[in-house]
Amino acid sequence: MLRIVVCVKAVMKPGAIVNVEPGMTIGGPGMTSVVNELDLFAVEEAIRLKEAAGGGEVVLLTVGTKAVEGVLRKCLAMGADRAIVLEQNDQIADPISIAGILSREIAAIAADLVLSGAQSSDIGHGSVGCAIAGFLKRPCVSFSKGIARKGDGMVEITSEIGGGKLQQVVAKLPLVVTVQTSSGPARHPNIKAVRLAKDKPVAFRPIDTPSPRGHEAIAARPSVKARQATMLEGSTNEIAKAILEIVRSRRP
Amino acid sequence: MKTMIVIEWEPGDEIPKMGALVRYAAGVEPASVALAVLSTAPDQLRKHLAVKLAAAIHEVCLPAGAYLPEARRQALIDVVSQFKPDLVLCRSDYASAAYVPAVAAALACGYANGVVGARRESDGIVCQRTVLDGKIETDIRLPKDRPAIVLIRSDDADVEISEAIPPVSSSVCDVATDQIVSVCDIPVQKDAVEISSSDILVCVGRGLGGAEKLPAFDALAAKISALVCGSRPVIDNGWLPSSRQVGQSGRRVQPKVYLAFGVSGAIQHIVGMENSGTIVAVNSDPGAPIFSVAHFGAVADMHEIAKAMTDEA
Repeated sequence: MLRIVVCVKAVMKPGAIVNVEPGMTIGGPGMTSVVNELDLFAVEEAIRLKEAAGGGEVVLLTVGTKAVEGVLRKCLAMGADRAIVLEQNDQIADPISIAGILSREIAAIAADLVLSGAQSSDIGHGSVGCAIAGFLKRPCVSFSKGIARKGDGMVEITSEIGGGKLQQVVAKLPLVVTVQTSSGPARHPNIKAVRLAKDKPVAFRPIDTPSPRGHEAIAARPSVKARQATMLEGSTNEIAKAILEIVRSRRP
Repeated sequence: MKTMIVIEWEPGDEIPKMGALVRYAAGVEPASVALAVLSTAPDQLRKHLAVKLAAAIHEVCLPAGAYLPEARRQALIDVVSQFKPDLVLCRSDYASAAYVPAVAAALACGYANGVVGARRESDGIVCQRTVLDGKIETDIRLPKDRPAIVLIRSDDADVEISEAIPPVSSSVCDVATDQIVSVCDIPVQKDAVEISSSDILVCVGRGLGGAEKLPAFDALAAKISALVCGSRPVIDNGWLPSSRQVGQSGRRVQPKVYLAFGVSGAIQHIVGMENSGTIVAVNSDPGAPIFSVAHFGAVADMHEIAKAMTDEA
């Protein structure tokens, strides 16, 4: 049976207005958590692989608080089978310790394939997936744009290697893949799927042993803006003319 | 304290710009700096590595053949285990992200990616990096009792070169990766347009909404002798081919004028265009981070502005 673990993260809704409170809690008015977009692609890809294999299990794994349940239910509604939350209340954003904590659970689950979004939209180290591969001593294929099943125990991955270049990698399981985008758009669950997801198991487990940290956050403050754009005001036509004037004056 | 600067290079690549890495090394610990070169032909780069600050060069010869992050992972584990640097500096880019985190995990190192500043303090090295698309700046402290690997957002600065090449040591990395069955490059589309050759770029972002909205921007680009490019979501949604992507994962461009329509300004896009001559951003969201990178901005509907510009040009 193909068992896929998808590491997901609840993040602040992109574009939200943020501020820093004393003690470094980063928050904002009406802040809502959503699934990190690239993790959503990872969930989608896992469900597609399970469907192509004609069976298997998709397990969601995250480090967080009780509050992440709502976000996980959305992924369960997409078609994941169950979720595990490794409970941690302090605001850790260190990818090495997170990867260490996740790796222990992944080893216990005995996953064939581990997927994670290539980067989170909030803290953005883009390192947890690859670090998990380091802890588990497994190969890591990074920045996947599509994963296809290639017979039993093998997958074919279209992987980005930077500079707009792509590679086709055929690899044996077990494997870690970081996901940039899924083979097709992430599905929107229908009402029935949302209802069914309410009964899917979500397990909360304490973290017994902390994992060594890669670093420790000690301060946060609003960024000093490198630049503040000169704003062009006026009607649509006036703004259009002003931009054209900028283009003309700088054209060689 | 020993610092190691990691350089990845393959024959055919440009000579790596090491300015930022050398500057960070000098700022934190200039006394003992070594360069580690990971390459299938490291000796070919040697003559370009007479970096004034560097006291030694460690060359690691990777197995020939297709690009394999697993080989680099093993090579970096080997060279760090052998020379035991306290601080390892790498470029923060796609190539590094595909193997360096695994090295930090395997060696239980301190670690940070996307670092834009570093200083040495009594209780350890403190790095700066931004989160939430650049809105918040954070200070993070690396562990003092263990080596650390830091990935630096490079600014492509050149480095001061001296006459003499520092002493060179060489090793060969043999890595058995029977789990990777085959790797082959996917050819770039034949009709690929070289966006970095254009003096004026019209960049569309997620705000485009769909491929059917593109012709309006093609029309504008034709009128002002520009090329159309896109940010990550535009390429991921298949609205433009990957050869048109600007950003960390696509092209780094430096046109005289960069017109950003409906681009929010995610950090991975910014690094691909921030050095453009004049940046003009049009976005309906007044809080979009792109406005702190652009020289000129307008809070407006991108489609209406593009149409008005096309009619007027």
